[in-house]
Amino acid sequence: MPSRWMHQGLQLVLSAAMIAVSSAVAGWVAMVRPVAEGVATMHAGGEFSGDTDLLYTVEVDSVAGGYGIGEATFRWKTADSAGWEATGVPTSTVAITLNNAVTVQWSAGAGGDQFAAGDQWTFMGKRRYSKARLLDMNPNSNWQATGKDDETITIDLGADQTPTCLWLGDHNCTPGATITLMGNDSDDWGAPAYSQAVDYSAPHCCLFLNETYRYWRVRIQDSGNNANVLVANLFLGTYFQPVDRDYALGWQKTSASPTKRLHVLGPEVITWKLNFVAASPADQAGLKAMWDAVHDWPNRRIRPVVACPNSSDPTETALMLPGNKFSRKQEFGDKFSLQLDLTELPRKQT
Amino acid sequence: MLAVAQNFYERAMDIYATPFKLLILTTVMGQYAISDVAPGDEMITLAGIKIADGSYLADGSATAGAGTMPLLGAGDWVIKWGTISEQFAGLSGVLLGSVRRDRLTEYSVTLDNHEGLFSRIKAEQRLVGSTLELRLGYGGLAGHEWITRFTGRVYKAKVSRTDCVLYLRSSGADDWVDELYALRRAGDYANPRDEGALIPAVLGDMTQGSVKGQWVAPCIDTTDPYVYAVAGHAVLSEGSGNSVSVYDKDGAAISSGWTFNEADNYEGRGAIATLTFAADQEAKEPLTVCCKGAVDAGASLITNPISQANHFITTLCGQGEDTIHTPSLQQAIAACSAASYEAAGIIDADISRGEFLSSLLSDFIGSWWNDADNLLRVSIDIDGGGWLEDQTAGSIQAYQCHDASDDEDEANLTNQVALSWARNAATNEYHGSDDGVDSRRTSSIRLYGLKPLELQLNWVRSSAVATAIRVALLDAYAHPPRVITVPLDGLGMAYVERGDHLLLSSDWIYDETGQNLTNQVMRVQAIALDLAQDMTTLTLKDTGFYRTIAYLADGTHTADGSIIAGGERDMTPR
Repeated sequence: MPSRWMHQGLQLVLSAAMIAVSSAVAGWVAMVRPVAEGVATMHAGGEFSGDTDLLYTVEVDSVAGGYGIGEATFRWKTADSAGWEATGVPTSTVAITLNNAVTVQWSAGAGGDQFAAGDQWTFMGKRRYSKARLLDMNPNSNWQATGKDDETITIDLGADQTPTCLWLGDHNCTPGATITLMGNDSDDWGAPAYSQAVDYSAPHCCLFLNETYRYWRVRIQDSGNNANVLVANLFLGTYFQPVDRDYALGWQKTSASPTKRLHVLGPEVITWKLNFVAASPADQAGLKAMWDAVHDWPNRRIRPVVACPNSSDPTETALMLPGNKFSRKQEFGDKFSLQLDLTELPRKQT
Repeated sequence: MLAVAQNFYERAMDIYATPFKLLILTTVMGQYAISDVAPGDEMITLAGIKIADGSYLADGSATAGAGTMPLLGAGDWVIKWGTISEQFAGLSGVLLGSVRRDRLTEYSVTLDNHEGLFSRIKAEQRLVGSTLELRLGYGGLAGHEWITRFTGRVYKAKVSRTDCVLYLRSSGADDWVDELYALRRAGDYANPRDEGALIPAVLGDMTQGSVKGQWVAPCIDTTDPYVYAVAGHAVLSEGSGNSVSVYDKDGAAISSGWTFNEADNYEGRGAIATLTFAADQEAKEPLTVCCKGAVDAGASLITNPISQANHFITTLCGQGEDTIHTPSLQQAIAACSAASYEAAGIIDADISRGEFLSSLLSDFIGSWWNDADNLLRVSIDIDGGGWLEDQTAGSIQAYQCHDASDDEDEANLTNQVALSWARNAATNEYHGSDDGVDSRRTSSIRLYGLKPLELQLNWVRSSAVATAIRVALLDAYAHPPRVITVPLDGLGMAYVERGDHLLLSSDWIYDETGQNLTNQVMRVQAIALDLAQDMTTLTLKDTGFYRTIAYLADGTHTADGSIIAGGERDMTPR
């Protein structure tokens, strides 16, 4: 059976805003960076609840009422604010909630005015296990739920769409887990129109389908797991499949031992050197489209692809990073041989 | 840490994004934009240089050249990027850079000189003395979202027919820390005994530690009335608690016959502290004195060592307060206060501002450096437990520690600290000393053998402060501290600076209880940016602290000893 390829250009879930999760481990606040003449120290705290890491700016906007804590006032915004979220807020030694469960407060310093107009602090609300991690195609950054018995990832595609592949990359589910993909015309999951069990495989799960709905939900029930549900990457989209001839099957598995000693077993890494012999124009175009979709040349950015070497066995998939060579050689007429090198991106985290 | 914009941060966290690196070489005549790819107009504009491409019209809305230098050239001239290494000095030596002076960051880059460009620049504009900025950015970022990671001055240039190698040291815009702080001279006044005699600067409570004369007060007026300079600046008044004692050349006290003026605008040359005698004292010279020193804006004696450093820079040297990173100053002041550190000493010779800072701060296990914003940063290097979560610059995750090394080195330990303190500048003797035998850590000696350390604390007067410093050193270094070196792919943590704190989690490094090291607070001792390979190597010192988790008192956890209220390690890697 032919290979199937899922890449950035075929992903239907384009932003974290299209995703809702049943739960996620809370974040934290870090990187307070003051640029201040006053001697007061600002402290930021709280369990950041935003979906993506977010930069906050807090600035003293008036010292007309005095230079002390409680006298000077501040304003604040985040990187995604249209303007200042609030102005003229009195400074305080007691925690003041901004948004996303983030708080700020000040402690007094010695040897001068506590504040000067324009004193500014920036800090970052960080959330390592947010739903946004599902889309970064990084095998080592994860969405992690706070439970394992019944966790869900709900996706609103905005309109009816027909995904043909669901891929859950680098999950921590146990073989006893029940993983279900559901589709529906509304965000109501009592009796969804489509419900399909996803066969368990590790470290990735993959399901090929052909259904059209706007709303989709992945449900994971894994009570036997010692840990809470964790998924590194989610792909819900379509796939590219060479239609004429497939590649000359060949791969190499290596142990990526950092020590280069034979008896030290590192994570298994697959490298593929794929030869698409006498590919038709359609397949050439498809492979070229994949190459272009994962290479953002102006911004020097690359994205991995999800490969399923044999579509009849969706349990064997891998997250692969294209190498720096994609060669094309004319065989006859409009038939060209293409060569593509790929290297697996294994999860390093245990 | 450096300031980062949201967009920069997001790109930096993207493991698949490659940063753009741009060098801005500024000579006396203008700027050159240099990279390993040809910097197109977009990249140059992104980096903040305005080019004469018609974007700006001669319509009076802007002033040509204002705030920027003309762009003289741009090209893909980088042959070899080199590595920027920032570290606390003495990293590989004793005690991880504590009680050592700061070292400047050095960097070298090799540029293509095939077309003779740099030969011409060298001849016409000079390369030595030029400044070089390294700016990092990512595709799609606006100019203000790039970060300036390094600013240095060319101190050596090697130009061959094909290559130009620039050697740089980090520097501020005006290198003010290298400027000399020159003491007042007796010759500044009309009738001195010895024109070259130096008038010292006095900081802190010099009456601690000894009652003898601590420094020489030179005669600045040999005519009646006879005037001697105690300090080259105003000091604490007797009404506010100063006690002045005067001694003759034989060490005998001169308890009368003089008046003390703590802020004498003598001959209209600015306030100094003086002694005025009705009778000639030449036969008793040199006169030595002892008193308390400089005061702050509220006329209170300055005793905190960091406050003294601030006073030295801003008042004695006249440097603007905007040259100091105020938050780090406040943090260090608080750390010294918490540790009851008090400093006292005199400056009795001309000294560069940087050397003075090193001298003062190293006594208190502190450091200083110029950060990427050219602000003076100060730091007390031994953590005293004041770490707060929001002071963390980021986190190192378990998968990033696969290629890390977890090191300890007996070069970084001491179990017996001999100290001398209360230096007498007049005799160059120390009034206080302790061989450290009674306070040595025997458990450490049993394990590692005797590892003595001897320090002379020129800015410590009291035995209590000396003891506190010894305890801090022994607490930190009686056992070799854990140092973890982490090589990271990419330059995503280029915003981290030495002295920052990071959380580290690993699945193969353990704490003393046998648990995986999770959310351990590490202090950045060194950072190396390999610009050729786009690699970042962090050298991190274990502070001994970790991120804790606070459980709600909701009955979930009972007081059965299974957890520590408020002190349990947060086992979710952040």
